[in-house]
Amino acid sequence: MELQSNKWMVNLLVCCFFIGVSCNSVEKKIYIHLNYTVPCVRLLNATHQIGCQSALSGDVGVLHVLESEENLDWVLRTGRNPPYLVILEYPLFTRSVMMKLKNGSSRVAGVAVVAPNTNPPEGFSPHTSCPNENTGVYTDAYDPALAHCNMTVWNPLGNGLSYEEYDFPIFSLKDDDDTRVIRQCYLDHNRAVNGSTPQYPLCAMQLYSHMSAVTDTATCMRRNDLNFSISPEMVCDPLGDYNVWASTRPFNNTVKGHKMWESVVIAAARLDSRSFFFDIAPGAESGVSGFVTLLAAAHALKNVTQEAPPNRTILYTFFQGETFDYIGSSRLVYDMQNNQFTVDLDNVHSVVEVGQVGLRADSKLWLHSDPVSRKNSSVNEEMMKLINNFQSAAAGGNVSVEEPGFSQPLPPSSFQRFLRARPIPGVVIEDHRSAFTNRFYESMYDNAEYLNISYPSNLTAEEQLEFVTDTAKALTEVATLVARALYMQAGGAESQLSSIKADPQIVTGMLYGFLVRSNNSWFQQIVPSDLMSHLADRPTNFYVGVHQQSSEPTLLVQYLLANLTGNTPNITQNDCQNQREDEKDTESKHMYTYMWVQGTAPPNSTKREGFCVRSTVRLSKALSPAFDLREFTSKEYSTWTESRWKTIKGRIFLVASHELEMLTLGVGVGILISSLLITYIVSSKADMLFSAGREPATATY
Amino acid sequence: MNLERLPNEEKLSLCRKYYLDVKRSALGLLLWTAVLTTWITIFQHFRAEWGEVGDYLSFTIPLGIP
Repeated sequence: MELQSNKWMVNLLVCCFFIGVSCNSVEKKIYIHLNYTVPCVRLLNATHQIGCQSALSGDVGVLHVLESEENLDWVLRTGRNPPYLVILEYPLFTRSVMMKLKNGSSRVAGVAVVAPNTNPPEGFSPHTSCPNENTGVYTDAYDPALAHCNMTVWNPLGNGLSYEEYDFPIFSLKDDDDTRVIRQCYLDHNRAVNGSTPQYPLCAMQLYSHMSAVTDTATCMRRNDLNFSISPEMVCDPLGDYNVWASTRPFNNTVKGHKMWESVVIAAARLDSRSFFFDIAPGAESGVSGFVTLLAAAHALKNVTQEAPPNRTILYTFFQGETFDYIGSSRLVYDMQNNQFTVDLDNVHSVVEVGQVGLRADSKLWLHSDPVSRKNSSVNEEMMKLINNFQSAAAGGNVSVEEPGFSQPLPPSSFQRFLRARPIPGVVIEDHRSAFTNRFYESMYDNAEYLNISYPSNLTAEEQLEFVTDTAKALTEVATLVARALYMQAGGAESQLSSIKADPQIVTGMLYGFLVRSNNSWFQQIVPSDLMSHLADRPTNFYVGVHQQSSEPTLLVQYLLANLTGNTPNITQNDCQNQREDEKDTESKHMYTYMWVQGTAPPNSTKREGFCVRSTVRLSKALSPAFDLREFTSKEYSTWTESRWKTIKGRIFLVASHELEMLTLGVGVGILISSLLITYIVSSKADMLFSAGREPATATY
Repeated sequence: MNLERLPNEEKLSLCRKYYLDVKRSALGLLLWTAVLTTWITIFQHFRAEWGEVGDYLSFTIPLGIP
């Protein structure tokens, strides 16, 4: 009976133990982890490394919220507890503050920039003031007076912060609850009152963003290949993606190189953008305004190019990677020169490029051309015809076009890479006469708010997709002009011009999808079902990324272009996915691309009815030729690579003073040594200290 | 051979022969310590500056530092 009651007692105690105790992690009591971590990463090219680097085990610094630029003195000289981790509000994220922090980097453990919820009033551009100055057409050999932005500085607000090298991590924080916790921690523990030193324990932050690649592209590509271990460790990847192109008349795509009797007008636009931080690139004015206009123009031309086809074919090209030394356009020109593309440079008649067109101040558009190639009289003649075509296209519309009126080089544009190969007549359409009107060029503030895209407050997401904003109306006018000018340039008749009109509903839908939310009902209809997961509930990110990962904008533009310029033949899903019209067809896949897309669900059911889209849309690889030729120090082509990394995270905690840490360690070591000594002494005198408690065994009576 | 049956002079000459090997081994230790210490110091110091050559001589290359 005793044993039974013992067993019951033990069971009861164990149950109480499990109910009473809850899982308490010591780690959760010490560290608060940051939820939103956006780092700046390291990029490398043929000669430099740019971006930020942290230590392998993270950089720890005592928090300091910078109040003004004079307060930097505390961080760099007078503060007693270096290294500091500086929290910058957005007005202080300027070149002078960052350069001072960079020079005093032994006392700076890192920087965290609090991004505002609305755009700042004055401009901010972390890009250089002369974008892509070494890979355009204006070199010292071409014309020294025009090289290196000697005549016009295109991006005067550019402070070049993105292209500096920092040896501490720089993260971006949103202005939300987490940041409030950080500021409160600083105010509670770290604030220096009236010049006195704040006492330990102090609030500190640790940021991890260790980058594997170092020095330059040649070094990191060499280290990629070297590696003796079983699992080779890659340290960097080249930037790149795919260009999207389509033609108004189908070409036989399996026959590459020169096509006899074909004359092609290239209509180009740029897809990508960047900002100081990784994977944030809204690119509204710098990228979206241009390619949305060209997509709308392609849609406007769809009917007339099928009913009254012009003499020349129009080739719509959307280039990726133009921000990083013209990756996409340099690759296309290289492919054309090496007979790897459907047409070659002899087939190109002229180029029309749509640049930044979203901020037209006074309804004027400017047509930029290259003064050096125009010195050749035949090129100049073609240019005059091109400008005339634009004037005819603008007649009767709300938009007027003008040339800048003085001899000025081309702004940074993909057309420059075509000119590098040979003089071709061409024009770049922009909304600025000389320097950019874009005050946030290649920054995280170049977003929907900057283009004045705003919706009335009581609309649902569906209604916002349909609502035609003023910006959309303005871009529709530009798209109509571009479409008419392209039709004239391709040799079409002027009488057809009045039937070419861009659709504002399409423009506003695209602007919503790219700048507000890509997971909307229209985009869901035009993509295949396995790509639904790529659509997100936030604006599209236009950073080009590494070439192994195909990015969201390329996919969206590919399916949009197919939907806007293609036809919907009545064929089965099986035939469509096998690139054929019917069982016996083997020729169509050379001329067309067939895509089976989701479509909508009819009103009475939830299952979507898909359909097939036949178009001439294709992808062409946009990887810099420097990587195929293995010339990693090339000055001709882009050599940009992105470093790889293992963890990106951050956390806040309280730190104790160094003296307290040493004291604790010392006390611990002392206790260890004294316990060893005592154990030795006691065990050596054991027989004296501990008597047996009975008579000695040798006693006999 | 049975060492216990050797006369003392022969035991002494045997000891001298083996002790020569011990002395040579000590000399080799000193030599190799000096050579390896010098080479390792030079290599670790200049590996970054040697660029390509340094990378080809390395078995593992640390990440993120030159």
